[in-house]
Amino acid sequence: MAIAGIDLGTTNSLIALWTDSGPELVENALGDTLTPSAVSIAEDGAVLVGRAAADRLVTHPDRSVASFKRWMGSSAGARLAGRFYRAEELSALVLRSLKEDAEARTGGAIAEAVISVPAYFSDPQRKATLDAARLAGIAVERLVNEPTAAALAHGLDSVEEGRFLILDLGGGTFDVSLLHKFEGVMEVRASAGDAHLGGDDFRDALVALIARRHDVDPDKLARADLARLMREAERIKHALSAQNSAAYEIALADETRSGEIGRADFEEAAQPLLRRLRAPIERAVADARVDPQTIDQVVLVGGATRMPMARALVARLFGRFPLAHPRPDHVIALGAAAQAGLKARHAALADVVMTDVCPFTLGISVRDPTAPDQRTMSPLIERNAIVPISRSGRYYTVADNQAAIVIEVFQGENLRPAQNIKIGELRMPVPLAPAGREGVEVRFTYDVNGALEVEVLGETSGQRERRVFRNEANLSAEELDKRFLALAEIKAPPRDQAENRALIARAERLYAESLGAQREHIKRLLSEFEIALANQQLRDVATLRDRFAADLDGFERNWPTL
Amino acid sequence: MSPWDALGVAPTTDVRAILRAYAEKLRITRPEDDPVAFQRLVEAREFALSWRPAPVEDGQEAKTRDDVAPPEAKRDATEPEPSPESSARRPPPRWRAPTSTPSRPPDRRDEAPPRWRAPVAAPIGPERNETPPPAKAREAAGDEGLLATFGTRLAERAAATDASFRDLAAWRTVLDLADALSLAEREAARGELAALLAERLPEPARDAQRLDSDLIALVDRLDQDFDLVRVANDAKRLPEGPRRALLADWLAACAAERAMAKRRAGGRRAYRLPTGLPLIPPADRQPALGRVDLITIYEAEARGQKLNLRLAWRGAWTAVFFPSAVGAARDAPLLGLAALGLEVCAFVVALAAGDHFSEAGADAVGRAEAAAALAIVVGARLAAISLWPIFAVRRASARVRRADRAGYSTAAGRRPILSRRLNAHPFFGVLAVLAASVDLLAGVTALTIFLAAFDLAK
Repeated sequence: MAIAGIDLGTTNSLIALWTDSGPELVENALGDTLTPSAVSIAEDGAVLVGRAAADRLVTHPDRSVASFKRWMGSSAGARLAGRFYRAEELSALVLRSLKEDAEARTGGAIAEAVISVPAYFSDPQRKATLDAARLAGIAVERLVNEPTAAALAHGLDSVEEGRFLILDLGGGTFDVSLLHKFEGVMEVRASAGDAHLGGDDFRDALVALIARRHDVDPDKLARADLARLMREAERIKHALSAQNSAAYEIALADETRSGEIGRADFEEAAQPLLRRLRAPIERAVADARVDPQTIDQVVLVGGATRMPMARALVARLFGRFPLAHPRPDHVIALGAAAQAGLKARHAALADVVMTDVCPFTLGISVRDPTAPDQRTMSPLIERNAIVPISRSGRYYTVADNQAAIVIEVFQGENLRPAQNIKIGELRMPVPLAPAGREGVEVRFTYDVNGALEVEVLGETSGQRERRVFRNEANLSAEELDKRFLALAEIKAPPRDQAENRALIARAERLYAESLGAQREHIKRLLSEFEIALANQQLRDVATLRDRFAADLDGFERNWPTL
Repeated sequence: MSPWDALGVAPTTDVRAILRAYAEKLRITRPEDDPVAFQRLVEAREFALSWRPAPVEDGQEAKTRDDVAPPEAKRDATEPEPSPESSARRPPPRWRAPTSTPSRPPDRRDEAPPRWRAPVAAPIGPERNETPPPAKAREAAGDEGLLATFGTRLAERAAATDASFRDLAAWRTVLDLADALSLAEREAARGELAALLAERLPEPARDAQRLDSDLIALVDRLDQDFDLVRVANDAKRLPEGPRRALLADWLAACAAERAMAKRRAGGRRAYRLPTGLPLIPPADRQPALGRVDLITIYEAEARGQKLNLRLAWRGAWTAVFFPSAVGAARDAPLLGLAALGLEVCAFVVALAAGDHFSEAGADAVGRAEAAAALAIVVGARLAAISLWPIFAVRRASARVRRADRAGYSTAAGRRPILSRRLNAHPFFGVLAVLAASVDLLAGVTALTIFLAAFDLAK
């Protein structure tokens, strides 16, 4: 029985297994460790996940979707080939593909899995993630905060003790954690993050920049054009990490537009995003009550930290150069696997103790003493308190003959509860009395699994009211069962076909992106390959596939980056 | 059990010894296994780390220890706390203006921690970066320079007239520096800025239609750059009181504005659920409409608990009996009027059918008219059942949008627009009752005549 950690990312997802020698990444059917978080429905009804689906975003935008992690916890979704898929279902398809990869590797089922979520994921978003796991048929008991996973992976990696600040800028989220490693204890001192800031936003800034230059409205573009534009922007973004300027050439609305974008242009367009990077870093450092000078290492993980401007920003803030992690894309999955190993009490981790924090403030809404018509937050569990934790407070009636005290539970950092996220409420009847005479004791208990238990005790009545706000499903049990069955019907193509499928999708994408003679060449290769596939000539297919892939590689290398 | 017993060490200020003892105890007190004991252990450690032995000669030790800490912090450092409970509740050190910071060489950092740092944090482990890299040293030399420049520019802003104060362009000088400051400097700068804003921002008039948009833009931009929310909500850094609440209110208004801008960008769809039903149940509209917070809550609840379906069900049932009253009461006046017209029409037709009765029963015309009357009545109900959500949603979202446009930054600003709804007028209450009686009368008449005409009453 395998123990697995899953990084369900905005752009890429990974699965790692915890083995006796440490965490190990699992390769998918194509031999990659990164599986793009994209889903596409093929014409024959099969569902494609990963590279093939990411390529089909360009050629079949109405049948493909990506970046759905951003919809988690809302009812948003995508309509693909005539059926509506919620974000949970799309994530479940990705999870299922990862699970199959892991099972193909170990030959057995996955016993224990931990999925990572951004620290600032709210309660409904966490629940949606658990729903997705359930839909994929994976039993997940624990979610781990991404900054914690990154800290754990880094902490296990590095021999030294000390304080590490780990910055994880992924495809869709930004997470910061401060890890203090001493005497074999890994203590997450603080974590903070922005659940809507990542590489995708930088790409969108580029899309907006290009669109503005050529005077087109990205909202009014055809889906295929927009997909192509996004892909081009993604390519430019990557190119600008290595060079000072990148050229582009793209057909938009039947017109070829070309130009060049310099690093400075990109930085200017991304300025508002860079500003948002600073706040979580500052929060984490301030919450941990650590002098920035005493931080031993600043470690960058996550694919988007390859951007020079992100590195420069960190260097400016700390007055020194950060350490780039050698495997920025893999850290979260490795950390999640380590967390799974910890949870399963794996022998290799017997000496390691890790403590985590609750990344947000939990409190209740009370009347503001300075402005009686306003409400204000009364925090019970302050953010970045070490969990598990239990705290209580006393609250009194504010009106004469008040019949009940309503305890509204909020999560968030704003002084005004209205700007925070409401988790739920409890009602405790109290005997009629003058204002301030009757009161209740409220106790919040937050456990390591992220479940919040609220207990209210009436002071005079001695009446007790308890409610556990835990990671329950957003969808009802029947709904989940129904969707589970519906998803089980959608078949993924057999694993041995995955490579062929991906190759065809890639060729189709290149066909759509290229012009003239190249186009003809790709078309010829593609039809040759498809004929061989149809004839089931396995040996031909294998040799043809290699040649085909080599040709496509050649095309892509000579792409307009020239 | 005293905290020292919990840790298993004698009272000490040696941070490493405390952490070592904590780590040892932690191995037998795992957080998953015994949360209560674990919490006790963590609290014991926090207490131990902040503990300082009572000074033999008052003042002298504190002087050598830290000559720049504010008096409050000094008292914390010298008075041992009786229990971890009260150490958690200790009055926080007040935020102090950073301009008084004396310059000090970077290697003395553990003797003189910055003001905003709690006294517990002292470096453990091998001393690193003993000699800072050259780039660092250069910056250290410029450190005070940058912060001082920031202070001067901020002072310029503080001295500005009201008109110039609210001009975002004039703040360029301050914002330009935001990027160049290092983490520690920004921490100080943020406090200074928050204090200035809390001092200078005017009290928002509670009944104002909208807050000053220039100021909103200014506060929003400064918040983006300096993350002011954190200071405004932190009693340790801005003294509790009306000025802090004021800053928090301005920041909340900015957040509301941002949320509304997002909603407007989402267009019409933002006010409707995917099922096409209204975002907010009619019963709760009066207090709810136009308030971002409530809309969000309802959105979440409606999605999670299928509140919308229950509401639709209730509306549909009411429409079976009182189609035109549903229109009047549920924000669909046109639908109400149409249904009322149909009901009156059915009533007239039913009465006309009554003229065609004789002792033998109704003749062909009478029967036809009776059937027509019943058909109209049924038609009106079917129309009301299927159409009311569409009308109600349209009106509700139009009103929320109008409120967004006209004064979204204060609840008071939204209220007048939102209360200007048709059915908020008492007249509509009367109308609903009248419509309900017409509905009932027409329905009963049409049914009776129909039964009589076809001899079904037996």
